[in-house]
Amino acid sequence: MRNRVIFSIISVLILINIAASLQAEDDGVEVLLENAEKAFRKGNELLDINPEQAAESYRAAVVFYESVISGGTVNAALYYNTANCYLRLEKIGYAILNYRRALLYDPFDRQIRYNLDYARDLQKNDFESRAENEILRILFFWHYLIPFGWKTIVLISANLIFWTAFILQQIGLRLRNTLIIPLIILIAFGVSLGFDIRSSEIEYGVITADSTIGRLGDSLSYESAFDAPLYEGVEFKIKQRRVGWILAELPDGALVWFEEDDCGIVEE
Amino acid sequence: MKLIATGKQILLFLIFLFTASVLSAQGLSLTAELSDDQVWLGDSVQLMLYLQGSEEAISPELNIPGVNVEPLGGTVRSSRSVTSINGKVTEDIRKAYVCSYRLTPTSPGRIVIPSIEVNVEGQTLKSSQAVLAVREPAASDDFSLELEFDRNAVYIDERVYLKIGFFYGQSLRTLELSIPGLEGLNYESMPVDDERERYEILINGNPVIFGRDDKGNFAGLSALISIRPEMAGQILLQRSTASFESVSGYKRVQDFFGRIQNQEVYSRTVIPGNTTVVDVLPFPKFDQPEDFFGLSGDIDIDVVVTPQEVHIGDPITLTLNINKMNNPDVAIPPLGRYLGGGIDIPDTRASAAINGSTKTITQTIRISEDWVTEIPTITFPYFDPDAEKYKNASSAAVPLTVLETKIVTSAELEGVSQTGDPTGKVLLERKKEGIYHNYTGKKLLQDSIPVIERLQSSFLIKFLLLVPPAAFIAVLILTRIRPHIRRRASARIDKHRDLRKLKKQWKKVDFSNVHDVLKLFNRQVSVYLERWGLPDDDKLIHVLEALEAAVYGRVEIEPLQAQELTAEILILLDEGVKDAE
Repeated sequence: MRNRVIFSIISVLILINIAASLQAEDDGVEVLLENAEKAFRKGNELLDINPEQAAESYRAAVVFYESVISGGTVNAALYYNTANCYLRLEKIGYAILNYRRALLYDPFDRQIRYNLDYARDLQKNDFESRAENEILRILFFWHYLIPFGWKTIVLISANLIFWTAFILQQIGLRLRNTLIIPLIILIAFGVSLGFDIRSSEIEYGVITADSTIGRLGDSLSYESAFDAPLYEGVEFKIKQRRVGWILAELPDGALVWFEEDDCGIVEE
Repeated sequence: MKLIATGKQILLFLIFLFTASVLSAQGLSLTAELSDDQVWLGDSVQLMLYLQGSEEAISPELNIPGVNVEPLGGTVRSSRSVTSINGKVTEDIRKAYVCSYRLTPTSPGRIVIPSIEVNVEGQTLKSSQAVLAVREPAASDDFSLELEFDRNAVYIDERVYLKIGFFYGQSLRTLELSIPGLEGLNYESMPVDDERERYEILINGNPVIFGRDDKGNFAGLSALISIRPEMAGQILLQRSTASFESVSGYKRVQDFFGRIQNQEVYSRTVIPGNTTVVDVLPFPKFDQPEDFFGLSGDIDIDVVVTPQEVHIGDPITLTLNINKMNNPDVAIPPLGRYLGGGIDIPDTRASAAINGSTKTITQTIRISEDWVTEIPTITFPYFDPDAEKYKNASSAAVPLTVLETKIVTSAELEGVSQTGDPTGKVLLERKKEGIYHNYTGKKLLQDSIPVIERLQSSFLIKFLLLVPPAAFIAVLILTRIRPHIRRRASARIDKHRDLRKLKKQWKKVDFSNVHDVLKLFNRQVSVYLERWGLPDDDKLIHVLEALEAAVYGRVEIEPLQAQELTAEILILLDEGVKDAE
């Protein structure tokens, strides 16, 4: 009897403690978000009349949003809001970095894509696209233009149509021509998705420092790869990482080393 | 007994944990702190409000008599620490928010910063009082601050120049000037000659370029500030101060090699400036034209009209330049009253452009009557402060050639651009600037994983991708493979049945009439083999040839031999069936 009482008390205490800590955690996140929204709104109100205070408010909003993210709550909307704050602070690099992170979580969102394109327009560096890239973009336009989620939907639909038509043909209906179109779509989108999944294993980065020097090697003693610095917002593929340095493939195919502190990694 | 003891220990441990987690909840508090408790008149101190226990942004409005308060914004100052003692990990989050203000006293003496109240999370928090001692600056023989207007009186909008000079006979650093009364004025600093050394000095916190301007034995800096007074009255500059660090002594220090050297010791000094004043006169009422609208200066007007050859209703761009204005911000009345009849002017017009002392107004107009031959003279009355009297500034008339009539639509009169759409709808063009709004609400609280990971691990996607081919395989099995198997199984049964029947039929046969019996047997075997095929068995072929020889070759054969032959054929056929299976 005594044991049962002790265990009952223990159970109740455990439950109260867990419930209290969970509630505190939820409340904490909600308070941080509320503060972030307030600070962002205040920034918007002050932007025209007192830009310095507006910037202070945007910075506070960033701190709140990033606190929520570092606390473990992660989603597209949080990254998107953080990116908007950075864009208001004219931190193009951090804005692009966070928009790209948001797209990982919701590639369908039109607002994220619109704002990302806008941030990219503000980026100062321009790169010549490689000729082979242009040809590939024209030949396999669906691979480059259609987001991953839509491709999945098209693949599933084509898969369903193709096999249904194939089954109907087995039963006796003559559907030879009907089979060809879904089969082509199935192959085209299947291969495209395969590439997407493979490229999702590639890490991407963005220059977040105001400007940085791209070097030929992983030390400050190496020569600069360009005659001018690269500005914030330049996006690149990460080919290799060494202590404090990143080997990046730029949009024009050039390979350069950046100091890790000057860059942000999209996939974290 | 041992179990109860262990249970008690666990209970005590959990009570400790529970109590610790409750105790770790931070209380709310508000503290006000001054960066210094003494300040020279004209100098400023920072007041910081520390909110502990919350990250809620606070920015209370402060009204402290005798002090100019400038909010400097706030920031979150939370800290987080993780400790691990005997494997028990404790996370300590200390929330805090700090906002600060710059306080600039306007009078000497003791100033009490009152208790500040804020509402945070439903609680009212109060800071303690603070006291600030404000010292009045004293004049010095080594330093002087001199302010001088270039005249004693000016009219509204007429520029007056303030010369600010600072002269010093000792080394100094971190010079800042405070000129109360200058903040609310419309002023700008005049450029410094190229040949003079330039220094950037803060006046009331704003940078102003000073040039080197020595006077006698004193080194000096001076700047010229142009002020455009906007209201009649007086510009009184008093209690100006110069604040800087000057050498107050020397201390002996040992350098790296052990040599003794004298090092300068700086201390903060604040000196007062002189009081200076200028009267600002209103525009005189005497002789003031009725249509005077506040224009002053040495005004001249020019008008440019394009095109000058137009149809009735065609848009014409009229550009009006008003030059040498004392105040280019003066609002210009609608042009309709100056242009007369026969000319349509929309109510709206493009905002004016200001370049130095010139204001440019661009207006789209349309001729509505064919008797209009010119854009008439436009005349504005203005006040010339140098001559101290009102004058008129007029533009030259611009001749127009008006061609055949054209119907003018109201939309055209309003200056709204038309598309080729016969319905008159205006095609909107999407702007390419700006960003979309932030998200709010529950969406921000939902935890998520990247889409590619979500799709890769999605059961539904795998199901939708794998079910159609699986269904196809099922249909294929049902429609093609299964009937074939069934047919094969059925044939095997029939074959067995036929052979069994044959064997049963030839179990007890009278072989006395050998030839006829063998002939019948041969026919029945032929029918069987025709249906089920001849097994690949040499021995069987051999005995079948022997049977055919006995039936068709008239070979004499004994009944016993015939019986053995039929029995052997049936055995070999049976073996053939088993081999085939």
